[in-house]
Amino acid sequence: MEKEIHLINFRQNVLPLQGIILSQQALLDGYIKEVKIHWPSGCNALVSVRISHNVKQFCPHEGFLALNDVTPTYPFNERVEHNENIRVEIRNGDGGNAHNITTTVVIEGER
Amino acid sequence: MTIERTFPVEVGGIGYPDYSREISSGIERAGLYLKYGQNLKAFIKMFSTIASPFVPHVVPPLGIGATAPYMDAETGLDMPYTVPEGYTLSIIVATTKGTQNRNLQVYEDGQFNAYVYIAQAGVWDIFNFVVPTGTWLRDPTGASSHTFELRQENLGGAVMEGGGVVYAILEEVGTKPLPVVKTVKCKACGHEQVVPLSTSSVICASCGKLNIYYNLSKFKGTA
Repeated sequence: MEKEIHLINFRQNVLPLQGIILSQQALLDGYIKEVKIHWPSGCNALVSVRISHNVKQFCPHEGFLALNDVTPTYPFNERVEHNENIRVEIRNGDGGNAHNITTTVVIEGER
Repeated sequence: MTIERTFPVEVGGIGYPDYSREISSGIERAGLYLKYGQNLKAFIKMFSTIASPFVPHVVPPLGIGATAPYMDAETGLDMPYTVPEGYTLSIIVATTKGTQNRNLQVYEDGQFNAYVYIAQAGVWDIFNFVVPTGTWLRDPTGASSHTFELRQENLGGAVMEGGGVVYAILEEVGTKPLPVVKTVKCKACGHEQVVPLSTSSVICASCGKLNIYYNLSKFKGTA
């Protein structure tokens, strides 16, 4: 079977002092190969993000990432199964501003 | 994508609106830089014998002891100006010149609050406020709308020509304050009571009189 690449986009405007968990199911059996997270300038390390699939947190291994004005790409090799939930948790600790966080998860696999 | 759940988060600090940039406007001369969500307002009145049929804010000279409201320069409507719910208004600059001693009074929700200035005849004054006065002092989250009025009073012995302009920032706000308490004292009877830090209007639990205090819980520094 041919390998497919599935790109899941999580984009959410998170209000000040709001935490939110976004989820979407993987459409492929395969591997999470890459995660890209976008923090707009202004986040000032106040917006924490972590990503998990099912009950396993993998990005980062533990704790949260919280950066500013950057869109880093992190390589992974995380096995996921079809219909498994991929979750992005965002915690906006900025007491005065909402922030629009975008997370992109790339899965390579087969249907 | 679905939202599984939302929950409150502890405050870690205050950042900036997305993609905003802090630019110093004071490199060569005093300037102004509006941040995202801020709008400039101008309130003005010029008292003059010079006829100006197309400029609403030019009016006849101000009589001895008389007061007159300033005008919204964008609409030609006399104040009071209604600050909408979800917004705050902060005076940042006031300029004035006149042939008589004069003052500029601030009324909020119909109550006298402060003087912007008390100025001398023949002197041109410019006031740049480090800590601006405005509706943000009592209602920093814009929880309700407020009327805001500037009134010019002629304190001199003759009719006054002159006037001034006041620039203010109208800003979108809306973040709820943190629940921190403070002890307030009644101006009428001296009774003290504990209220949330964000409280500005308090009915005394002892004598029932209204007291209005500043609320600085959302102050984010000066420009």
